[in-house]
Amino acid sequence: MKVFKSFILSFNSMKYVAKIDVSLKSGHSNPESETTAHLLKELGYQVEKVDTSKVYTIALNASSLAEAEATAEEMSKRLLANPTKDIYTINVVEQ
Amino acid sequence: MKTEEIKVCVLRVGGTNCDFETARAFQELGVQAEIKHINELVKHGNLLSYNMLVFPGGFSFGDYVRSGVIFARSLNAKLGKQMKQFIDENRPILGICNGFQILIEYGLLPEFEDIDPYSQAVLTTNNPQGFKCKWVYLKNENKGNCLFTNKIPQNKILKIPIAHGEGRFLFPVEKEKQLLEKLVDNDMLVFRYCDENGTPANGNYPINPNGAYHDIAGICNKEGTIFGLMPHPERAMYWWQEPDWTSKIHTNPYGDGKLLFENIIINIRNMQ
Repeated sequence: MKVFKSFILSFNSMKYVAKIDVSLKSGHSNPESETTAHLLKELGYQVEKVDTSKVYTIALNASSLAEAEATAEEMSKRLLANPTKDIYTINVVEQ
Repeated sequence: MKTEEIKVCVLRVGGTNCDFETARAFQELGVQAEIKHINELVKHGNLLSYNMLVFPGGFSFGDYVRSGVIFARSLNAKLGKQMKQFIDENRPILGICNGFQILIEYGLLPEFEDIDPYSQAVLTTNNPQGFKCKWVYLKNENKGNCLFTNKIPQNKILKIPIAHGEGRFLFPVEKEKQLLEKLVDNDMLVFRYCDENGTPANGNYPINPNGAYHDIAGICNKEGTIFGLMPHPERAMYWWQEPDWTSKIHTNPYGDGKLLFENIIINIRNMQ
């Protein structure tokens, strides 16, 4: 029965790639971006501001695009972003 | 309960690196302190055989994603039920540096209402940026709620070192005043960075070494049983760990860190 279930699941599931971009909320200082901006200015570039973010590219199986997006949302909340300081954007495409 | 009957679990995973000194500090004071890998606790299912749990400092799981978050989620997934019982029975939990980050990411601190799976605070990149390893002064602002400091006089200044790159305590910016009020009202604020005379740093570097909001260095939960701090008391256990050990005559063989270990041991002794 277990084998049959997993066969059905793999038959229905499709491959998706989720790109989750986690960056700092506005209002908190970001020493990494400030330091980078400072150095770029020292190197002679006309830089006004630098923002930094972390991108996770996750390959996953799901039965639909909506399910893949919901899974990526859950991953962001449970692990990848801390709501105290982070905001995130999710972009899921079928592979 | 006798001191020698107290069992402390110093919990480690890959990347933990302050377990030995932390266990040694407890052993020095006569309690049984055992260093256990998380998988050993999972295998034997014996978290509840300990009277106290300690998350020591280090770089658990390489500090990937965010410091402490992988240890926190892994612990919840593997030992969540036993952890809940441990907490419900008000058994003390200490988090030092990376351990504090783990407690925050687990949702055990600040824990205003209940264990929050999406923590209401964070310990993030130092401002100014960079890993800071130095001695700092801390003021005990707790009024007696915290089981790790309630024998230490209020406003006493302690000298304990820090060693971290991500120790800037923050609340969500839109709620920071409101949450700070809650922290103070519930007597959950424990240590603030200050100068040697006890004047708060007011955010000024290097007295506040990481840019922490309200100079926060350590907090506890509402019950006072769970305590996290960025400084390392196990590195201020003995006089010879202090930076001026060659130039000063030391009449006390111990450093200020001992006060915290001693404090919780007295409370566990009286609790059981």
